[in-house]
Amino acid sequence: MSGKPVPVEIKQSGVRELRIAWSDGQVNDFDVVELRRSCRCANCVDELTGAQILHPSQVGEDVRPQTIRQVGNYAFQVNWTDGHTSGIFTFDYLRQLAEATNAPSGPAAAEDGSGPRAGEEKGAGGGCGSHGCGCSH
Amino acid sequence: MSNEILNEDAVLEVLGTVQDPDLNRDIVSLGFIKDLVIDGGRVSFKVELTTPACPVKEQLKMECFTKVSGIPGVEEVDVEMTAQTRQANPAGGPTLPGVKNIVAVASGKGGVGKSTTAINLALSLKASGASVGLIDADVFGPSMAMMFGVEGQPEMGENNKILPLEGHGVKVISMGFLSDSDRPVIWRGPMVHQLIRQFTADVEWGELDYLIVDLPPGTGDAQLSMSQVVSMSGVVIVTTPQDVSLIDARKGLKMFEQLKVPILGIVENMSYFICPNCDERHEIFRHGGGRKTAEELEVEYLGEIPIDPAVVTGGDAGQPIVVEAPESPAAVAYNEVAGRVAARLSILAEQSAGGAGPVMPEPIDWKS
Repeated sequence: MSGKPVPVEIKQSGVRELRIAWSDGQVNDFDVVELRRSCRCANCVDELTGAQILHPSQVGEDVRPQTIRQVGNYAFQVNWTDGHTSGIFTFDYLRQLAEATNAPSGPAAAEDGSGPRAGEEKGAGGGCGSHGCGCSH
Repeated sequence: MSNEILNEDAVLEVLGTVQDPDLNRDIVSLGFIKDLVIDGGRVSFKVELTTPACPVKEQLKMECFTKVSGIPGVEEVDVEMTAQTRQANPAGGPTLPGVKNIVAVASGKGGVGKSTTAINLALSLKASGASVGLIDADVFGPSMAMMFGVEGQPEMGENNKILPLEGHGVKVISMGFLSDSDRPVIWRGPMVHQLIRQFTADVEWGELDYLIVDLPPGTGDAQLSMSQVVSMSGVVIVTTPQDVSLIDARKGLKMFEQLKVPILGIVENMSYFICPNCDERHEIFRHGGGRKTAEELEVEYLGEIPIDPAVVTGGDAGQPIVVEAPESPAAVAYNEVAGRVAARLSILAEQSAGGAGPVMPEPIDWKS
């Protein structure tokens, strides 16, 4: 099995924040509006060319999840208030997003200074999450 | 004899030196010892394992018996081996109510004996005392009806749930029960997804220790759907010794890695043939490729199944070899594979037991 970090807890942490606590101790708060804009499903990103179809401006600041449900062992799927339901966010992709945009935050990250920090895992992602198993079609 | 020596502590101290080789801990700290009763010189207790298919059950029983018999004052020892199957749910995702472990049997390509392995694995687990179900998820080429010797249409139970059929004590559901055996199923992906959903959530499985899923070959809709609708405990990859089959096995394995389904290990089917006339072992398709691939990919090698014509005739007649000829080399090999699969699941369950608990067993309803 790959030794990539996996979520140990996923919960709503603010009006528009989703918190993921990872198995390596890192904690990230995701802005759900940015998450909606980062959707990799076939309606938002062209499957063959990888070209962005969804423009960030098409997603209003008021978009929120309605429900978030786990998909198997590897992802979750969101029903959004804008009616979009086809996006599956793999845990690997979420971790990549976290590495790209966020510094670790939240209680667990501060708790133990010896744990791996954001950025150290750079390049470990790649592949999964960007296409293929990331889509529900 | 003096009761100051023979007491519970003395017995537990001795049993504390008995190790479970799979979990790497002693059976007392694992909480396996139940109902310890000391009555004069008579000691009786139960050893509750994490699976009835534990491959070292007899060895553990013998060790307990011998060690406790050696305590001064003990005249009689009664050891009963029981089991309470643990649940392996590595990602803490959605499961099926009452079903502890969902185990897929997959292969990269067809014709490697995946269904035969799935059936005999299910029956081996059943024979060990576990409660077992089987999903034939091979939508386009269902074979379970024939191989299990079960026929008919499943009936509907309460709450519109499908009641599985039963063959050799194992609950089975198959596309073959729903479609005409001569008529091909011509479906696109969304239909496959719908059926997989039905076969898992809409079937009255009841209480099961193991639900085995026979997947179609390859890396397509059925595999992806199965990995999405439930949190699978693990997957067994079946291959044959040839390189071409092994290349496909690797692909299958990589897919499940991406989907974060734990790889329980690789089984090499059609591994060798023992000639019934000369008893000599012939390695028809070469040998050892499965082990090599397992080592390369750092997954467990679960064992090898010999080629035995009785496996095929048994399958065609609805009498799988594990039931028909339990002493045959092929049946013994299947039992060994089943034991290793069960042991791997117990280890996974033990590892995840100390974790943070379920990640998302129920959907999150967003609060605005």
